[in-house]
Amino acid sequence: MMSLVAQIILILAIFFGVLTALGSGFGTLEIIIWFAVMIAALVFVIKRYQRSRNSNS
Amino acid sequence: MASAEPKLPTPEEAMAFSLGKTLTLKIQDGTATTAEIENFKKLFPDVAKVLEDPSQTEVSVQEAVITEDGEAVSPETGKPLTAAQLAEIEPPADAKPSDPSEEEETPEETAVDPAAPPAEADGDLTAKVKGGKWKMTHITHTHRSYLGQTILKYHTYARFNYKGGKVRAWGKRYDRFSNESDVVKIGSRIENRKSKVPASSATSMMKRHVELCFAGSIGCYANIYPWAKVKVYGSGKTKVAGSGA
Repeated sequence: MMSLVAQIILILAIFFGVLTALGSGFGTLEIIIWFAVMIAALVFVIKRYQRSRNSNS
Repeated sequence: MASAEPKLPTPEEAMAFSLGKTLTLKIQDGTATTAEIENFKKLFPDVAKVLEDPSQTEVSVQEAVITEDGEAVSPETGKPLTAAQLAEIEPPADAKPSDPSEEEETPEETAVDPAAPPAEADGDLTAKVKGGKWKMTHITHTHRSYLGQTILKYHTYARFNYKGGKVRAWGKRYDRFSNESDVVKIGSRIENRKSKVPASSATSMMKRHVELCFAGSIGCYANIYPWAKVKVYGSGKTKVAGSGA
């Protein structure tokens, strides 16, 4: 399994890639949704990593 | 009895069909450039009206003609405009007038409105403009977000004088924004062109730089360049192009 840092970097790369490609059509609502989904993805990855560490220990 | 042979398309018709199909697919995919969308609108105006444009921009044009008597009338009906109608066309106080020091003058144009009557001889065009009709064009380009919210409306105003098949003078030209969403950070004007007059036709163009930012100006995530161009003819006819994004 990838390290936590690698997963976070991958998620950030994907989200910022989407923002770069589609950002000109992002208004207030879209940028809030984009930000919320990115935070949710990061929280999900971190929690999953913590769960897997706890189950291994 | 000889049966009627099916009419084959000419090479020009076949090429136009092929080009139209390619551009339609690109526009619907959202991969068409602004120039391609504008080209499509020129070549296939009827199809362009019903084709959904994913670039999310809309354009509207409002015009008023000021007759030699000084009366503001509608160019379509010729009827006098009400104060409210005129207020929608005339630039409000917050519109930024064109700064003569930033204006770029392009060479005189020679295009003629094919529907117009022949130009009258007028040997005094270079003199101070007297008489003729003034027309104010107000072009609005609306840039919408993917969910349909208005991100901004870019308004450009250009006034010109015409008579006898000639565009005789430019009046004041302005631009301004309205309905900006919270993410909009308006930048400077990056293009401001007008072609030399008097001429049978003339073009005015303005373009701005706009940044889309969240958290003030720290997190700017996109640059857009709304622009508007109006080509005016000596008959008073106008043709607009541009984009809200």
